[in-house]
Amino acid sequence: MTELEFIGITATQRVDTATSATNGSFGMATHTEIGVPVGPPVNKEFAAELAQAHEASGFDRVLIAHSSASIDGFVLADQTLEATEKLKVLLAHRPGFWAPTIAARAYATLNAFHPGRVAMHVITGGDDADQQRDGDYLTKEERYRRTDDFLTVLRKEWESDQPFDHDGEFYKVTGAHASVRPEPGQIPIYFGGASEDAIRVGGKHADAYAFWGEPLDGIRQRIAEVQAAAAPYGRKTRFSVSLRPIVAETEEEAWAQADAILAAAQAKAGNPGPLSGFGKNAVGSQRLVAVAEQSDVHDKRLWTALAKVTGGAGNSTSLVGTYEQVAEGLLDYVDLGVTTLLIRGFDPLEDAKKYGRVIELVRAGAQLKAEDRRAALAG
Amino acid sequence: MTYDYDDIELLGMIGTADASEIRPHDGPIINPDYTARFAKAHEDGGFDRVLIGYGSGWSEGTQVAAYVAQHTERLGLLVAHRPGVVHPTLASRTFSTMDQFSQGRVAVHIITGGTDSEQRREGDYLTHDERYARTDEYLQILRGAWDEPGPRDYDGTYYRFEGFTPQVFPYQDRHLDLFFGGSSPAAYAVGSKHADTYMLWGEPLKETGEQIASVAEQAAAAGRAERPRISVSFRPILGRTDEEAWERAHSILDTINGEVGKQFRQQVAKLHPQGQAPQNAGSQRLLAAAEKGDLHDRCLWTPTTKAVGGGGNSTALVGSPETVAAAILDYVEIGVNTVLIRGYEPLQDAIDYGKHLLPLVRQEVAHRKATRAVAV
Repeated sequence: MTELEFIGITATQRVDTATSATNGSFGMATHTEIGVPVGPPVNKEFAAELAQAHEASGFDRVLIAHSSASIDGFVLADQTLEATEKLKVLLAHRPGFWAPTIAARAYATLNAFHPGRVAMHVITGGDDADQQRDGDYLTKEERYRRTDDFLTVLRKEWESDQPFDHDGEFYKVTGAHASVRPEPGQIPIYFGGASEDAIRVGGKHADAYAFWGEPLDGIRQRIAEVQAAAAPYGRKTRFSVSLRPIVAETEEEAWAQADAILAAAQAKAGNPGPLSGFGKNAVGSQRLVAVAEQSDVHDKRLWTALAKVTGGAGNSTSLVGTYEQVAEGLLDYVDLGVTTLLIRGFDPLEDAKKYGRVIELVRAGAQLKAEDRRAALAG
Repeated sequence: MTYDYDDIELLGMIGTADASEIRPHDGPIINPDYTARFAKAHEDGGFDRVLIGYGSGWSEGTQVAAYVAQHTERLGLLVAHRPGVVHPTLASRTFSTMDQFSQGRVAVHIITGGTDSEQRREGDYLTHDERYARTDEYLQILRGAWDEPGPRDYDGTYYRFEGFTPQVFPYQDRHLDLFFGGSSPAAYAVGSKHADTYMLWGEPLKETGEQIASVAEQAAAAGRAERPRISVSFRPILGRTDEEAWERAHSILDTINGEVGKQFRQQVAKLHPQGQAPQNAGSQRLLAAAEKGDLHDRCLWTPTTKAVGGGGNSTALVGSPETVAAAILDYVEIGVNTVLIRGYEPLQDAIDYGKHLLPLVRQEVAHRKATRAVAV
């Protein structure tokens, strides 16, 4: 079976979760629903400490997110890779703001300095207002067509050993040729997006397709859709699910934490920052809100109450319980064919440390299950 | 003359592989270890800053700069950037982020692009003068994004956005320097308006003086109280004595014109089709100077420029460290504030410049400052 991959998340600013959230400053550098960002927005030492905590906990990779306000991800990627030994990065990129040729060379250059430790996460952008902050006025449907064109040129820039031309709907180049190219397949492309357009384009280009944490039935359905979209291109796609685990020694404690997080998020939502509304018109957000409106808890322990507060902005559903219970909840997704688990908490550093035990349990559980399967087959 | 000797800045240039006109290269284009050593040699040699170049097929410069920043402690980084390939709001955040992580070591060198075919490799089909008009907007946006908090809107010919609210600014809210290159009338007009330092290739003193005058005139027309600083780029060829340096210079020229250089010229020809005159004004000016003679002023030597068809920084200062230092001071005396030097043996030359040339230049600058002060 494909090896399990655990992805965490980077940040460059400390968060104080003890303080009640009344501060209007919404730190995109940290992107958390609770707590108050403290100290400089670009804190080099904290970024390194957080990356090292992920490595120590057994994470394979960390996501470097992107928005119109955030710091530049490439530079943070380099910092993260320098601060760690083998931790990899998943560097988010929004097509449309960099020419595909230079974007390809930037990834290839980063990869050349840190071979095999770089992946690209393509986010086409679901929120018109946030696109317009960086000068993009295309409609969502057009944006996905552009992403298709973008990834076509990007792959040529990575793969072509001869100068090439391209004449697409959005991009045209003549005689493009990169002297810096990754080994074939060395920079995997992850892809996010829940709309039909997203699945069509992602099926064509993605090495891994990322979903937010919906109930198991929803994920099962989404996997089938992407597989159908990928089939004509002969692509075998990996699947990733993003969740925000809330773990404690006892189940009661974990639920108490969930309640506290919900209360803090509600207080903060009453004080929207300058970028409130971020991500609200994405289909993925709508799906999360629809799920949340049915019930607060799904399957065994998927808790969706927070999605109602945030309007489903981003990855905002949780597995709540003991370490063992959360690990079991994650394994239920693994049983559906998910091989990448993106888990991040509400207090970036403390949760990254805590998740080490969850990761260990999931890896052991996946191993056990595989052995069980072999035993069953042998019988 | 507003020149202050204290401010003289000495720049080098780095690449990611051991390659030059006389050092053909077949291995990977990025050698991390070499890149770090090359940068460290500049830092140890007392250079203020290194240029990281831009080409449509090259290693991507911001990634090279980020790597170099991690492997040096105080060396300044001058990252070449071509407007048009990245949206300016995003580019502003890239450089601010890099400036934060490197604690104030970043400057940006704006190269608008003078060759149509090179632009088209990255999908840019504007004409030369349109490109400079776009650069004008681009630099307004960069400056604003670095210097003033948002949210802000912009509605220009080439760029439009609404509600841009960056959360990252240059380190300690400092002024992030813009360098600028280009020798056409459109370049003078736009660069003189925005540049902190205007970069020129190494022409003879008279021609350099003419370019400085053009920049000063355009800066005044744009309402600036002072013209931008001026930087000039050379390829010094040093020897222990002048004779030794000239022997080396001729051997380098022979190598460029010979088999080894042919290999290099063929590699370059893949990217920059030969057999046609360069389209950019800067290269045309270098070739025009080279046509007038091989040796200019004290020791400026231009056959190397002819040998490579005028491409880029390609004129040499040839001589002992004393002679080359004196030649650099000749430029300082006509108002040049910054000098960029790189060699044909890139790593070894950077080490030698640091050991033998930079101390002489700094010493002479200090001497003239002191004696000039007494004279007044």
